[in-house]
Amino acid sequence: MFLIKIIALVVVKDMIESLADLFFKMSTLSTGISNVVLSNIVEFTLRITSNPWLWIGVALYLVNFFLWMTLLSRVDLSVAFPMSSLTYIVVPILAILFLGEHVAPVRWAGIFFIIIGVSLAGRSAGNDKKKAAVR
Amino acid sequence: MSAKLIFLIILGELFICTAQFMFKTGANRLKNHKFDSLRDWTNFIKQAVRIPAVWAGLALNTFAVLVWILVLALVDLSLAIPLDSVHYVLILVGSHFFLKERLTWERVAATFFIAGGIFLVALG
Repeated sequence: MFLIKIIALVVVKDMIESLADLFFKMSTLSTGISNVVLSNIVEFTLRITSNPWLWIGVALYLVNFFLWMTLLSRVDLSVAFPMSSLTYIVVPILAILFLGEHVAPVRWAGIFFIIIGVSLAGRSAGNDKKKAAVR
Repeated sequence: MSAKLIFLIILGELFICTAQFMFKTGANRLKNHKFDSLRDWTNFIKQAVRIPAVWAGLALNTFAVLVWILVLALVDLSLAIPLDSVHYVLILVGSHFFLKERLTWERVAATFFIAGGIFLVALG
């Protein structure tokens, strides 16, 4: 039960974070400025801060901060940190679905490695709890 | 790579990792919460915002973002993303030495798989 709760927390946190990243990208696209330089930085800032997607993203980041603190109050940092790397898997999928981006084969290989790493971290969280119960 | 860029990268990594150590130090004082009701959550948040280490972590995170923007102004994103994999190794080592967390084979393997994976993602 402990591990299921932890996994649920990680999944929700990473989903929210990935959505926030998607909203941030959408807010940068909405400005119509693809190359931010010194001469257009004021215009870029004005346009992006008047875009609702940016503020939805910021609000989601705030929610995530408390979810992260919740997670850290339950598991070690050296387990929680690798476990919450699902954004590297979810963001490319969201980018394909909603932004029409292309994902190269070498990137899929990287995503596969990350899945193995996240699973190992999850295994570690479960084992730690078992050991703590025995003690 | 210029000396300025290397300095900024090391500074950014230091800020990011120290922020996480601060968050964890703060979170270790929040272990008694059960999260069975909405009231538990509001109590959790109320207690969390009163912990100085949490605010120190937030401040360090803000500095890290500012340094990161300076780094991105100097290099391409495809060169900057592999740096993400460095945090994972630093967090693993730092958690063991500063927070006295156990260094198990699963944690080491998890860290290296993810760091390698991020490197490949950045290559693609």
